[in-house]
Amino acid sequence: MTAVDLFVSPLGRVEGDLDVRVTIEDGVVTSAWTEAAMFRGFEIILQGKDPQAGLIVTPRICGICGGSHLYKSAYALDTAWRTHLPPNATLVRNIAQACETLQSIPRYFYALFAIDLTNKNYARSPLYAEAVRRFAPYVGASYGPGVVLSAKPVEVYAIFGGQWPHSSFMVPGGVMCAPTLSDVTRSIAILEHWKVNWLEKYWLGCSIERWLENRTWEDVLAWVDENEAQHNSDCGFFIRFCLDVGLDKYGAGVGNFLATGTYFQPDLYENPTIEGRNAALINRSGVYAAGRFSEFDQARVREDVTHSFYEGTEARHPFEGETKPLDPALARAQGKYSFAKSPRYDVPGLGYVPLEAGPLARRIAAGAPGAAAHQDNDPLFLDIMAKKGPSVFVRQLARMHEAPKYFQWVRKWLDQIDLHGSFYTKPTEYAEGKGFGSTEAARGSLSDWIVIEDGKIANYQVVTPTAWNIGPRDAQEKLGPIEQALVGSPIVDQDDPVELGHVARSFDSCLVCTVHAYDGKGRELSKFVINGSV
Amino acid sequence: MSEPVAYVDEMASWSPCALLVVGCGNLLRADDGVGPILIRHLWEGGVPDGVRLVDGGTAGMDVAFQMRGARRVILIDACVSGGEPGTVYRLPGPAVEELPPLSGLHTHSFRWDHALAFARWLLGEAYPQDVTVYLVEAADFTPGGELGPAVRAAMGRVLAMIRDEPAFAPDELTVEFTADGYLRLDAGPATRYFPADAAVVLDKDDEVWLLPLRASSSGGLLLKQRNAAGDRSVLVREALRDNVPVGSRRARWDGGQGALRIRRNANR
Repeated sequence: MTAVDLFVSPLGRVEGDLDVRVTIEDGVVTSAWTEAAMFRGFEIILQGKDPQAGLIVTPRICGICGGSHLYKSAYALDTAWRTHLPPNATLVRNIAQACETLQSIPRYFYALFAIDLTNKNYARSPLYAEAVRRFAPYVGASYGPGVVLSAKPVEVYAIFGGQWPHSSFMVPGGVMCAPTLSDVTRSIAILEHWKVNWLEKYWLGCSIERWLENRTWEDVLAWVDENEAQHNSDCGFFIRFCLDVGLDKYGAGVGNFLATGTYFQPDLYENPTIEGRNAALINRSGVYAAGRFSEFDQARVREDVTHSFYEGTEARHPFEGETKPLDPALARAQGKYSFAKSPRYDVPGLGYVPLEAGPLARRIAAGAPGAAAHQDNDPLFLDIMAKKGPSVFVRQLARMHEAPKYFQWVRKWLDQIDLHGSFYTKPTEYAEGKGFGSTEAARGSLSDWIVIEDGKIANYQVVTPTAWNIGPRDAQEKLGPIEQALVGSPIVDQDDPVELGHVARSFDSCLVCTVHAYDGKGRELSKFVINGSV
Repeated sequence: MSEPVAYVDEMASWSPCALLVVGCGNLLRADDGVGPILIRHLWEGGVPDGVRLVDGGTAGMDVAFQMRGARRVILIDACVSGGEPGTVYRLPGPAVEELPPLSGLHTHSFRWDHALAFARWLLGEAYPQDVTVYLVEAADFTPGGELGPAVRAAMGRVLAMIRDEPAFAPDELTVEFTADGYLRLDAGPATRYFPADAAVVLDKDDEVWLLPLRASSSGGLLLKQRNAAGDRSVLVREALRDNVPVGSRRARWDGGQGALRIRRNANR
């Protein structure tokens, strides 16, 4: 038996922010450590500040999910201040959040994920030449339209939010905008353009309605072979390629999932509360662990720092959370190895376990029994999970499945805006309170917990989807979701372990989100010399 | 398809501009925020027509989309090169031309050079002709920190350089006082600043100010068309009590005062 330690950096294509260490035995990954190399200090920045500081600070955590950060920080204040939200405000927030995700779906797929499908390690696949023709960066026939048209949905965000990224137009009590009829019609035209010219033309090869008829894995397979347009669409090709090279065979992960949900039914969330949140959601929340569903309850979240570069021994709920960084050089001696904390969730009957966040978790939650009339009720991915289990491929397919779905929702919400109605109700700024706001960023559940005392922020904790996914081991030595997903991956070429890239990138981990937003900019002027490893 | 950006339809909401100023960096990381903070200062000082400001923050790929339609681009970012904090590097042309390869970009790790490389691919022939990059040597990246004094001073120097850009300079134009006491204005500035063809004159020591009125019925002096091109003349002799600075004079439009300010002195 040969054991080799491989040190691959940077897997997330972020310079130095995440290092992944794996052990490979006989061509298979047997253990993995994800090491977030940089400290995030947002919680410390926010302590003692004006309660609304989170609206300004958290969107700067990330240039990719800035709108999602704003969305959940606004809801954290809404619940803490017991605001009234006019239905229009909820609709505009829904639209903005969904447009950020609609942008992310193709941009992530073509600019990050599909590039790896052109890796030379797949040259033996009969579909390889076609993968290169479509997905080769910058020159692929699908790469250009996919990446360029990804800019369209956030044009809609900018119509409502003034700018994207880094807008601060969502405020407790509503949104700071007064859209006109022409704003709404322009938004519709932009989204229709995106749908016609990318989503249907390149990705699906059929109408979005046809794709959304798929309810089972067999439906999906039949869809691929239904006609030439679908067979040869990027989606049809992607499915065929993944099955051919075995991307449906590894990267399973912990098999337990968390969605905190997002998008609210306007008339059910006019008075946002933590307790009333689940019932008002359109994109449902839910925990799926050991094959059973349970209702999401924020009170069951803990952050473990056993292997993180922080002080403290007990796992704390975010309302009581602490962020006291240690010197990594010294902390390593205590077995700590990452600046990411390890979020864990107390599943009834199972205890504290790691949960995977992301589009697959959302799609599983959408299949849970008991959906209300206004809620997403979609059995497709529960069916695929039952028949195929989680994998790199299934995670990707879940992400792409959301494009037609969210498109339809946004179109509906745009039609529901009452242009003569109110978009903001001035809130009472209570000096004391606790709030919880959450959303589903493109890459998973993103939540803020705020404690307001004496008119100032006493505690603020942000738990990102990347933290759920890249967090290190916990007190029970349970691996984090990405660590677990890497285990078992077959490595064909140790000099070019493309499989590790697939697994890590299938989580669309937003390292800058978790670690901090220094953007991974190497920034040395020496970088200015062309550097092949950039 | 000539360049990738052509995949985006014609109705996309961008307009041509003479100068695009982009500030990159993270506001939450002390000196790293110099780009976005500089953009705020420019914004507060007023944005002339033809200038577009972009707070690029940390969303690099989108900076490239913003570059559509810009004739000239100035990009400001922080850097760490080992130099004295606060050093301003104006990258020489060849350095800006020498961009990193497009392979292996990540949406979360875009830097100014990635943004330019991506923009060149995206915009093809429409890539701006004229790109200047200012990098400010940063020292402190403490979460939540303020700009350090050296970087703050450097930002002031970059601000001054940007405000010296032609696109930022206030509208400079030439007017003429005739010996018989008329002020002559070209058609362009006359219609732009005096749409009602009515004005009042203020004698301000070193300058003569011409302020537009909303309508000629409000009184004041009439701007009369004096040729087919639409040039105007206005009789200012009485308002200046016969102290007319005869000859060509430089003038500029002061948007803050709402006045055309004409220098009495011919030298400058």
